Formats: sequence, structure tokens, C-alpha cells
Amino acid sequence: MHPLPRSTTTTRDHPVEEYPTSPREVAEDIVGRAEAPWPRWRWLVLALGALFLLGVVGLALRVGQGGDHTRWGYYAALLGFLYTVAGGAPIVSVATRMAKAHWRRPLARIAEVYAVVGVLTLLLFIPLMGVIPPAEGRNTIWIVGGVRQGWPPGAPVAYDLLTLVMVALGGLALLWIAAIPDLAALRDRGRGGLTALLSLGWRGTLRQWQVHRAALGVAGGLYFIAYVGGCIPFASDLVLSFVPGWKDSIFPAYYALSGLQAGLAAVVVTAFFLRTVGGYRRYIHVDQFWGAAKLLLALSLLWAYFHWSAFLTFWYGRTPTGQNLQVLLYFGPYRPLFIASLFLNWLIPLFAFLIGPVRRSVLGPTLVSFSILVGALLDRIRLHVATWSVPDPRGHTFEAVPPPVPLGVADGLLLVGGIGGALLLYVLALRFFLPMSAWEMKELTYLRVVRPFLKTRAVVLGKPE
Amino acid sequence: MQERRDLSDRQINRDLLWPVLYTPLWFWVAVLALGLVVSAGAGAAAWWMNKGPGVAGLNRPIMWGHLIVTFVFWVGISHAGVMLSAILRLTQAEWRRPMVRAAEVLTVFSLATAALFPLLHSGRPWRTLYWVFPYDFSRGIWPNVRSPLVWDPSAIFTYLTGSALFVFVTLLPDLAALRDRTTGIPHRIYSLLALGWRGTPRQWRLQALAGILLSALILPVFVSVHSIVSWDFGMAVSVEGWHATVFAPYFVIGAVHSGVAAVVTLMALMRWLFRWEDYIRSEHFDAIGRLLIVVATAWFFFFALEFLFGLYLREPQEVALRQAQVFEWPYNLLMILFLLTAYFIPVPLWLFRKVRRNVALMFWTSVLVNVGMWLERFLIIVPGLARKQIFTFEWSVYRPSPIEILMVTASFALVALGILVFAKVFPLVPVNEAKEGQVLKAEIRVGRRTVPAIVREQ
Repeated sequence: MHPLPRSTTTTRDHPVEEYPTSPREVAEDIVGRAEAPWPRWRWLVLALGALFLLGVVGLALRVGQGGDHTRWGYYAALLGFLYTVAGGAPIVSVATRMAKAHWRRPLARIAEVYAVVGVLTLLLFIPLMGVIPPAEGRNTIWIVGGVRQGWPPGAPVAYDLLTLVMVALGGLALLWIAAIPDLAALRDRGRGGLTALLSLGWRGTLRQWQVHRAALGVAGGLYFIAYVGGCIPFASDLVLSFVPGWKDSIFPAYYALSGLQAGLAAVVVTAFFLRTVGGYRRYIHVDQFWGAAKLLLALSLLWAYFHWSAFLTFWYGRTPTGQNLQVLLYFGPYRPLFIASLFLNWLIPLFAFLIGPVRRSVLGPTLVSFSILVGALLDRIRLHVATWSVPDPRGHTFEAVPPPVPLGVADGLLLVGGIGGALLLYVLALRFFLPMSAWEMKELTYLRVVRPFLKTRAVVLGKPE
Repeated sequence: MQERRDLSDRQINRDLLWPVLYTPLWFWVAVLALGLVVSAGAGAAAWWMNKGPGVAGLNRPIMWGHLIVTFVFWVGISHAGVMLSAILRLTQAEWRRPMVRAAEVLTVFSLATAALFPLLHSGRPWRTLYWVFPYDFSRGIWPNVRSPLVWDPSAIFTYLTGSALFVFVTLLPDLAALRDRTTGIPHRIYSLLALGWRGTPRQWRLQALAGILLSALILPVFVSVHSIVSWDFGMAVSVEGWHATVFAPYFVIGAVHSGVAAVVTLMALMRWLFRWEDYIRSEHFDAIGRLLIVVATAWFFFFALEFLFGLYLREPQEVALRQAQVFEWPYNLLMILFLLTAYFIPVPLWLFRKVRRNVALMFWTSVLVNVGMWLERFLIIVPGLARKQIFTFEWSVYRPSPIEILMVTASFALVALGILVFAKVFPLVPVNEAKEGQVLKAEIRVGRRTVPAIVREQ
């Protein structure tokens, strides 16, 4: 049984929830749960495994229906959704660690573990390699034949695969480096095998901590570059280049940003789950949801701003391609998806988070995050299905808007199974890496104290640099 | 390592208010020198208006030259205020305290200076009323509200009003401090401006609330201003390189890059001129240096997107424009200088902690950034216009006339003069912020070490 939070102290306006106060207490509590991160863990694994099998059936059906790319839009949407959400989540840890925000600590591992989904996106891309049309005659960033015939070889799929490999490996490296001290703690409690191997003989010497800190910074920076940079080929090869004549320089940035928004939302929903069901109430407080809500508000505003910038430019340009493109993406058959994502990704977060008590609660940010995740999935379906429905992506002008592609049985199974598979991987990885970063929480016990301040009590945060 | 010291309220008052209460000799020398340059610029502007824009190096097809480039540049600099003041205030970044006022004041003066340039560029400033106000009812002349050129003045004047209000609201406690330390006419003026500030808990609460509300309200204006400036260009299909969806965020993040760099320049000058080593410390340069690395890299990402997707469709005219920017004289030299100064020299240097904590190096690298960012605006505007007409048999080269150069130089002197005069009348580092920083300062013992800490604001 996990104890309830200690009594709270109160500042002028708000209760201050207290974390465990001693490093030993943190270590024993977090590392001690390694065998079953939360109650009924195995049931969850079985349920997700069943969903994943449905996805495998869906994939078999999809492959059986042939390699016409217009039928693979939902599959590409699933890949895009998983790539951006799971790829964006670890950035939450990287960015808040860079900003030295203490509230990040209970969320850091939750975010980093999403990197394991990168392996699934890599596997999901393999069937698409035979479906994506060749780059010849299409507008792609690879400018095939621009310098000489047949160069660059293998474009675009080889480079997209390379991008996915880099993001997957970068994410796993980040997760591994961040988890080394905790893996060593598990090793010292008798877990051998891969855990002992990956802990690299960690003893916690001053030198090891210095190297660890530098490596974490470098891995975080490289992962950030890999993810955001990777969105350029990914977004242009899997969305933009399917519509002839669509030149949209903000689109890769929008793709990366909406992924960050959805990634943070995934972290918030996971944190809520771990707090309420997983028994991590002592570590995950309102502070974490509050901090995340402020970031989500900013990301939601940027989401709308990027949309607006692109929309207005095409609207004013009044070129035939631009007008047809707006029909395809905004006013035509996919309009309901656009309106839904406009509400779920922008209006709901905006108006909900403008209200202080909603922002500063556990349930408010969680519900809004769930809305963002649903909106992100719908947005990816709108983008990928609409663009992949164009029969011939070659040429320089987009002349006719194709009819919509309805959701088939295979597509439905793929979406459910793909998301189930991603969650299965995540849950399995949580058991291996621990849901909470014990060393970062221990550090917090040193750097955060509650003290009397004037006539009240306040939190004092250490800033070592 | 933080270098903060324990400072008494009395000492803070003395240190931060001395430039207002006493006048060193160098102040008059600086005012005289800057005033001469501004006067020369005003003379050039008068000449321009008397003779017409023909005195500039402008000619078809390049009708937007140095004045419009400098307009975009100063609007960019004005983004420092909100970036540093509003955002850092909302995120409760402790290191914001010594730099917020300077950033806000820089916003006001650079924005006011920027607004002069489109007016001067028109050659007949009074006729700009045609654009904005529906004054001629009988002929049915109305402003074209669908034109970004009409949105521009609305956005700029809203931002200017909001920024000035922001400066005023945050100045109130300091105005009261000055009121209590002056006599005669200055005392009366400060009394009037201080709005009866007594420092009661209710007044403090209202002042803090007003600051937060203004921060939140001004953020959309801040984004809209440079977005609209970008749409002056981006909405035009006829000029190669301009019709890009990324222009708005690219301009905004570029503005933040140049604006924050300008604040670093100003902070270094304040530290040297007013001897504020205890208030503007190397840890502040360190923090703003880290922010600059992030901002500069984000800006470079957008620059890369803009350039890459310019080539994406492989349209011959667009490819020719990019070739001109990269390979043709004099744009190739300017492009190299721009990339080196705006990113490739400063950012790798800022990666080193020693550089970030070195005031002189931060000063010079921040100056370099703004040299680069001015060139960036030049390279967006002029080469695109030079290739505007498809049937032009000879692409034009634009050379600024001495009149234009004088007006641009004078604009720098005007902003500097404005800030200097402001510093003579109001404190450039907020006294109340410095005191609050002292109150919220704490320490935590971790083992044998003492770690600097802060009391978290709720």
C-alpha cells in the first residue's frame, strides 16, 4: 500500500502539497515498485496486447487490398500521429530540463519513456516503403534529378527511414542516459541481465554525475534536432508532396509543433493515470498539471497562429492550386475534421486555460489534454488521408479535388491496433525503466523546502546555478 | 555561480536613482553628439520631403530601399520589450528583474522610430492619411481594409499605446520614490505622474494585477505587429521569394532574436555607464545568453525552411532569385556577412559559459546579431524587388543615396537619445523589482554546500 500525501501546508492563496522529504524514502518507494508499477498492471498489458493483435489483422487486410497509395491514407495518418505524439513527448523533458523547471521532475520519465514508441513507428514505416510513389516528377525536398540524374539515390523513402531511425535511436539514447542512475539502483536490488548491463557500472561518483549531466544535455539537444529536423522530410514526403504544386514552408514547423502539443498532452494524461490509478499521488501534484497547462496554452495559441499564417497566405494568393488546396483541406469533404480539430486543439484549450482554477487543477488539464490528443488524431487523418487521396502526385498544379476516402474496416482496426500497440510498448517500458525518475525526485528533496515566509509558509526552490 | 549581494533598501535607492537625481558630464556630451546626428537626419528628411523621393537611390523596380528595411529592423527591435518583460513576467523568471524596464523602453522608442519610416518613405507624410482615414466622403475614397498596408499602422499604434501603458504602470512605485526625493517643479511632475501612490497592500495588488493583465493582453498584439509587417510582403504573389506561408512566424522569431540581442547591448551599456555591477550581473548575461541560443536556433530553423521551400517547386524565377542571393555580387557578400553575424559567429560562442558571462563579449556579439538582422531584412526586400518584373531586360541594382544613409544613421541616434533622456528622468532598472528580488532571495543548505534559492511567487 502506498501512503496518502502528507498534510499540506498553505501559502496565502493555495495549498502546497508536499513531496516525500528524504532521499531514502523516495528511493525505497519508487525503486521498490519495480515489479508491478501499479495495481492490475498485467491486466492492462493483456488488454493492450489484444488491441495490438487487432491491428495486425488490420494490417493483413490492408496489405491484401493492394499497394494503391490512395488506400493507405489512414495508415499514414496513424504513422504520423504516433511519430509526432511519441516523438514530441520526450521534448517535454528536454525543454523543461533546459529551463531548469523543478515541476518537471515527476514528469520527466513519463515523457522520456514515450521514446520506445519510436521502434513501432519504424516498423510501421516498412510496409509504406513499397507504397509511397517514387520522387521522380513530384515536388519533394530531395529535388531528384536537380543536380544529376538519379541523385540523390533512394529518395524519398531511404531518407525518411533514416529520419525515423535517427529519431528512434536518439529517443532511446535519451531515455537510457536519463535512466542510468535508476537502473543502477535496480541492479543493486538484485535485478540483473539487461538492467545491470545498461547501468554501465554506475556507482554515483562525482565524476560519473558530471559526465551524466553533460551526456544528458547533449542527448537532449541532439534528440531535439533529430525530431524537429526530422519533421521536415517526414511532413514534406508524407503530406506535402502528395499534392502537386503545394508549397508550404510553414507546414513542417506546424507538423512539429502540433506533435509537441499532442506529446505534452499525452504526458499529462499519463501523469493523471499514474496519479489516480498508479498510486503516485505523492509525486504528481497540481504543480505538474499547472505547469503543463501553461505550456499547453502557449502551444495551442501557436497551433492556431501557424494555421492562420498558412491559411491567409493561400487565401490572399488566390492561385488555382491554393484555392483547390483550401477546398481539399478546409472547406471540402474533410471540413468536419478540420472544425473538430479547431475546437479540440485550439478553442477548448484556449478558453479552458484562460480560467485560472481550471489551469490550476488536476482534472482540468487532463480533460483538455485528452481533447488535444483526439484533435491531433483527427488532424493527422485530415492531412494524410486528404493528401494521399490525390491519385497522381506528379506535376506542378493541383487541378481537381478528389472525392473523400471513407474509413474502412481495415483502417479502423489499424488505428485501434496501432494506438494499442504503442501503449503496450509504453506500459512494458515503464516496468523496465520505472515510471518516476528516482534520482531526479531525490534531487528535489534537497532543492525544495517549505519554510515560514513573513506571515505564511512558502516554497523555497534551490537554483544551483 | 550566482554573484548576488545583500543590498539594503537605502543602497538600492541610492544606486538606481542616482542617474535621475545627479547628472554626470558625459551625459551632456552624449546628448549633444546624438542630438547633432538626429538633427542631421532631420535635415535629410526635410530635404527628402522638399525634393521628393528622387533624392534616394530608389528606381524601378526597386521602390522599397533602406527606409523600409530600417522600418522592419526597428519593428523587430521593438519585440524585445514584450519578449523579455511580458513573457518572463508571466513565467516568473527571476532573472528578468534588472532588464525589464530597459526592454520596455527600448520597445517604445524603437517602435516610435519605426513608425517614422513609412511616413518618410511616402515622400509626403501628410498624404498617408489617404491610406488610413476615410476623410474624403464626397469622392467615396475609403481605406482598403483588406490591405496589410492599412493593418500596419493599426497594429503599430496599438502596440505603441500598449507598450507605453505597460512602462507607465510598472513605473508607478518608482515615480513615487522620485516624488519623495525631489523638490520644486520635478516634485510636482512626479507627484502628478505617481497617481497618489503610497505603497499600500491594495495598491501593490492592483499594480501587480495590472502588470500581469497588460502582459497577457499585449502578447497577441506583439505577435500581430510583426506578422502584419511580414504580410506587407507575404501577401504579394508578384514578388519572388515573398509569397511564403512561413513569413509571419519567421519575421516574429527574427524580431525576437534581434530584440533580445539589442537588450543585451543595452544592458552592457547600462552596466558600464551607470556602474550597476550589483544589479546587472554576469548571471543575467548567462541567462539571456541561453535564451538567445534557443531563439537564434529557432530563427535559423525558420530561415532554413523559408530558403528550402523557396526552391521546393523548382520554379525558374524563384531558383534564379535564390541563385542571385547566394552567388551574385553584391548579394553574395551580404548573404555571407548576414549568416556569419546573425548566427554562425555569435551562437557557437554563446555555447561557452565563459563567453555568456563575459559582458564585453556579450556586448559585441549582440551588436553583430543586429548587423546581421539588418542585412537579413535587406536581403529579403531588395533582391526580390530587383527581379520583380519578368520582362526587365536588365535587373536593377540598388545603391542607397547619402540622404538615405543619413536618415538611417539618425534613427539609431534617435533611439539612443530617447533612452538616454528617459534614463535622466526615470530609473532604467526598476527599483521596486530590485527590492522584491532581495526579499525573495533565499539559500538552501545541501550537504556542505549553500545553494542560492528563491521564494516562489504564488
